[in-house]
Amino acid sequence: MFIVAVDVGGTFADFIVCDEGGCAATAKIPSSIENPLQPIIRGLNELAEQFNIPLEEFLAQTEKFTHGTTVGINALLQGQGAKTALITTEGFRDALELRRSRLNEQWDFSVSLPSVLVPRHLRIGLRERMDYRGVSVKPVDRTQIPMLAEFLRQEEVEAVAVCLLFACRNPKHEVEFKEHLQELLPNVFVTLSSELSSQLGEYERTSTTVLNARLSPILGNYLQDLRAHLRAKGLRVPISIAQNNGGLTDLTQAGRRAVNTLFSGPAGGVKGGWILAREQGLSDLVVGDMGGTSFDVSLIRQGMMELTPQAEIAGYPVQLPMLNIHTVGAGGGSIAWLDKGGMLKVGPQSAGAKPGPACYELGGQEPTITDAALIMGLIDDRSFLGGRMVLNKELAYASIEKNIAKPLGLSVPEAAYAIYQVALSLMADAVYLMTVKKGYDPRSFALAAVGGALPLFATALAKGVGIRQVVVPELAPVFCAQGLFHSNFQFEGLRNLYEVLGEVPFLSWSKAMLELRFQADEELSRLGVGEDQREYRWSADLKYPDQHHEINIPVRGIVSDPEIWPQLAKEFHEAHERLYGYCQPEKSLVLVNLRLVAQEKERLPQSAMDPRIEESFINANSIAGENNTALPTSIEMKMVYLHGGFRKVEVFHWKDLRNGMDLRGPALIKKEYTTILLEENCQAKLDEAKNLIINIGKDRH
Amino acid sequence: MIAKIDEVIERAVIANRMDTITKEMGYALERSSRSPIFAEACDFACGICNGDGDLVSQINGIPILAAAGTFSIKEVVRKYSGQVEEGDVFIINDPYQGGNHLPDIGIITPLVVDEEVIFYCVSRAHHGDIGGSVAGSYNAKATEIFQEGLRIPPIRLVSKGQVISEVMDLITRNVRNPDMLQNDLWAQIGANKIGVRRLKELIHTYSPSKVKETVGCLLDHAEGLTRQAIKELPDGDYVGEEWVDDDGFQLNPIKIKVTVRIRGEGMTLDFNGTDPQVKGFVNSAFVTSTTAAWIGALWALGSEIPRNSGAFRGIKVVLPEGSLVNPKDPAPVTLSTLTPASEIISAIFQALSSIEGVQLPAGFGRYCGPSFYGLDPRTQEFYVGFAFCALGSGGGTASRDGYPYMAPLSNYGGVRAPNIEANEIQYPHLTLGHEMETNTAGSGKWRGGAGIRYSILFQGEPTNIVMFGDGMKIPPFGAASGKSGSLNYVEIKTVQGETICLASKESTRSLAHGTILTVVSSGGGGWGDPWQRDPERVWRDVLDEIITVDKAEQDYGVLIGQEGVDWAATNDRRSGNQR
Repeated sequence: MFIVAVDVGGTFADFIVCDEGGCAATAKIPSSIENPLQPIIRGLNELAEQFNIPLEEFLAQTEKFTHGTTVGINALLQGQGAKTALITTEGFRDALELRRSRLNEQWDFSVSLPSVLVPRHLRIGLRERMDYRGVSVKPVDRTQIPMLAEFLRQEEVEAVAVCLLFACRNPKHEVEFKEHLQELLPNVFVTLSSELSSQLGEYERTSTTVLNARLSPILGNYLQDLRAHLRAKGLRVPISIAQNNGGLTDLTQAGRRAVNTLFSGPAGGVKGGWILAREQGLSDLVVGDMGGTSFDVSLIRQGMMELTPQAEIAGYPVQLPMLNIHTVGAGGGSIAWLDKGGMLKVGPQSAGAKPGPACYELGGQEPTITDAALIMGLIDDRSFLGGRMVLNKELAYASIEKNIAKPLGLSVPEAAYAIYQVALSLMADAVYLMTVKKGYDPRSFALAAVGGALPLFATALAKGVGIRQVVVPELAPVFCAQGLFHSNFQFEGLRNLYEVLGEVPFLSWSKAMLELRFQADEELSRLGVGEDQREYRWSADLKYPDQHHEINIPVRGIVSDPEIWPQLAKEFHEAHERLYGYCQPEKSLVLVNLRLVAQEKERLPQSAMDPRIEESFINANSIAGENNTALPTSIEMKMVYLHGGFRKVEVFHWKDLRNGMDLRGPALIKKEYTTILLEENCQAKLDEAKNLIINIGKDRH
Repeated sequence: MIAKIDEVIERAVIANRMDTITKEMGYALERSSRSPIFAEACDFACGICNGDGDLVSQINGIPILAAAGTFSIKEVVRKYSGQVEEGDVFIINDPYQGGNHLPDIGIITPLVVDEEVIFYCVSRAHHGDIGGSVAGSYNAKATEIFQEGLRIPPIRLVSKGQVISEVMDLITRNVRNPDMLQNDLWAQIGANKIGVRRLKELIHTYSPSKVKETVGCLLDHAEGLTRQAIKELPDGDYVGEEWVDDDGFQLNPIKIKVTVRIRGEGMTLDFNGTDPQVKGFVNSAFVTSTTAAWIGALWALGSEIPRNSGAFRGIKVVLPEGSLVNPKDPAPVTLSTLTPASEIISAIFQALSSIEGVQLPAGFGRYCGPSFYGLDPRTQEFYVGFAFCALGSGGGTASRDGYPYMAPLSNYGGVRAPNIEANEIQYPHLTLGHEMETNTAGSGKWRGGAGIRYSILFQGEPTNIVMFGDGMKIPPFGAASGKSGSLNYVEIKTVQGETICLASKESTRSLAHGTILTVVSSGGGGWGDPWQRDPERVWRDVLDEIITVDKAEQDYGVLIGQEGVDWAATNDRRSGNQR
């Protein structure tokens, strides 16, 4: 029996297989934007080979298959997507373009806003109107729909987003329009704002709906293909897809809700970081994940993953809760280039897996971070991706020479080192943004260095931002896949109540509670989660009557308990004081929403279920060992370019590392799919779970 | 080297922490406040000043409000020097004593350590009503500040942590929605408390002297950047002029003139030549004019300069007394934060645009639209609302079209227009439409943003409206041979079907249930010669109904056929040069 997790990123697809005994095999395969399926099949074949069984047998024995995908976000970033039309209430077709006059950069007139995803001539007003209470004041004019459908057909529209005013209060008009339109255009994907969000605010809701309409057909097609392929090869269980909030859903739902999976892969990394923090007993952890395309930063604070109630993706508001992840375009495939003034830049363009870095010999002409690392001697031409890919050092050399070294008048190793440093500064800024900019001192965090490329940068990055400890988990190169492996099915629902919070719950509370519970159970049953495997977390959004924003207060205890309301009120006033500096306990409260998160119970090892989260750092001296303080034997000495020149550095192999050893930098530690650079004055130990714990010393030069 | 990395980290951490704290104050204010003008439109600003009242950090909020915090605090410092204690909170709104205009109330909370004030947290916010002759306090017919509302000099509102109820009662007794004003003062006091709490943690971590020292460095750093940027501009005198429509009494345009004098690393903005102060409420007192001048100049100097008192040190502002931009007490000033603050900035833009390499946008739409008030028939409660959804549009720049639906320059990037859904829950009216209007965008190689047509049907019994604003005579200017944008236009359609065109500054009108108000706001000015515009873009504008086929031909020399651009005819027309 196998459990398989596959995380397909922009450059690599990562695989983890577990059997009864735990993690049994991993794989890493270059991904493909044109044919996202191909690397998955290749990787699965490779895994099957590792078990010496045919793919069919491997898949037939697979009991759970989880998948994180970047198909949606890739399409968005590359300006692709289904040709989408937007239906609004007549007279209001411009909300998407007017953006509530929001600007993120008010002091620079040259900054451009992200492009409007539906051009004005494809934004159509529908004759209908709901008022603020959700009462229809003008019914849907059905006579308008046939003409509208004909126009959409002529324009060859592939997806339709519908966001009508106050559909969050009453979705009737949206539903009616969709039913009618689908009769006329059965093959066009239609998404309603009311299916995605019940929150007030037509701009943010429209943006969310348009993203979903534009990206779902692309993601849906891909997932259908994937299912067909894997079924044909013998997979018997359904495929689960990771969502932005860290929970899983099934393939059907994912294909209709692409907006929920835009951060599918990185979400696995955050989940993995959360598990690592729990296992290690760390309270505060920066999770840095650097693959081929990007560097993603997220935080575990006080043992918790950080959720944000709504976020912006590539400049577009998304009115749905998701994990808080900051991304910059600095990955192994990021291209180094010179701007007009001769300033060296790295990214955000990535050579991806194809043509890839120059050294891949796949036609890539431009120098990348990987090429620089090869020239610096940080990585090997013969052992990249576990020896599956031979790198061409001469091509890397020629590319850096032509594009960077010559124009700048540097030697090629110097230019490579400069590329490394520029990339490092981008990564340091990203960590600053997530810590210092939020008022957290990075010196109180440890850094989990994951993804194939970060271990090369981790000790330097930690030094640069003042982090004192780096953890390189044993499964660092396929860490997101590991997080996916631990992810659970999850359902989130909300009922809009908008009533005064009295002493005891009203009937409407019980009704909303039963409805939500029913909806959640239906969804979890559909997803195959057994009744005894479910967890329910209730919360309520509350506010003072004349306020415009709510505070989410968790419901402690039993949601049907009549005593629950006074308890909620008390916690609201306390939270208000803590967050806003005052409270008014004499005022009544309005109960705006009742929320439910229903999920499959965590299946973590017992040690992780009992977190010791008071520690900031792992005490490296306390790591139990076999009293074998002898250093492993180095496999070779290698010339590596560090601080102004080549120098001899000892190279070790991960499999030779032992508990109890005390390895000091500078050194390189080679591992399948990654290499760890241990800078000078850094000290590495291996803990029992086979995580490499690196304490960062201070430089003395 | 050991010391150095720590020093670098600490300086960055403290600087960024200041910005984070002001952001957190802003977030608290936005989330907990009651009046829609706060919570939905974000018409507020928060900042931290040092013990001398120098602005150290501010949120990216309303530009014209933020920098004014330093003046408010300096007034408190001047009046209460040596008497400021922990547990004090001060209140201020007097435009002639550290404020912008009466609706903007400043709340100031000191952080005292060992009897020394190390910081002041300040929040300044626009309240829906501050009394005076008309609800909403935009009184277009006021001739003295006394008719504009309640005037609060710098005084204590809280002492030893307790609100002084006599002061609170006196204030709330003089406004139309006392409960909301009181709640919102609480929100401001609360936001400051959050700021003080966070600053205390910061001081605890790094020691007061370390933090003070770092703050000094931050101000010097901003000053250095400002002077560096000024030095890169050629020495010379650059003149810009802009006009205000009228003051609501005499109907001739009023001139603002600025001479920007650049000498080495110093810059002087001299407003001599500006028209004398006027009878109506378009005068701009010292604080608003100075702030507008600073932010206008800094826009030209670069986005990377922190907007704090260090940056302001490099820019000298000369405001002739008795002029429109520095009137004598008690001239009325309520409109000043919109007009003429935006026109002061516009005059500076036009002056600096004459310098080679300085690229500033073409003209922006001006604010124009009524406040409306009455009893909400749904709740029987009093309400005051503003036409925030009638914002005009931005001017084109040297590299892109202007964006539609932008606040006037003085509020640029700070106001967040409310969603229509939020507005209809808040006010008794039904919105009939909110869309861009064809043929309003100023033509140019990069055109202005299109203006907005905004219509609402009033359901109050009755609804009272007061028109205030500008831009019905003077359009947003075109830059670098671009054409100007369209004028503001406002009309009402009565239940009887009569259409009445409204002026930009009017006294109260009472409207029956069912009256329809329509505002068509200004399109932004165009940048560059319209004949240089890519014909494909012109075709897309036609397809998107931003312009008509006729406009494409007249302004752009682009002829549109059945399938898009008629290239032969277009080339013919454009090469013929027969405009």
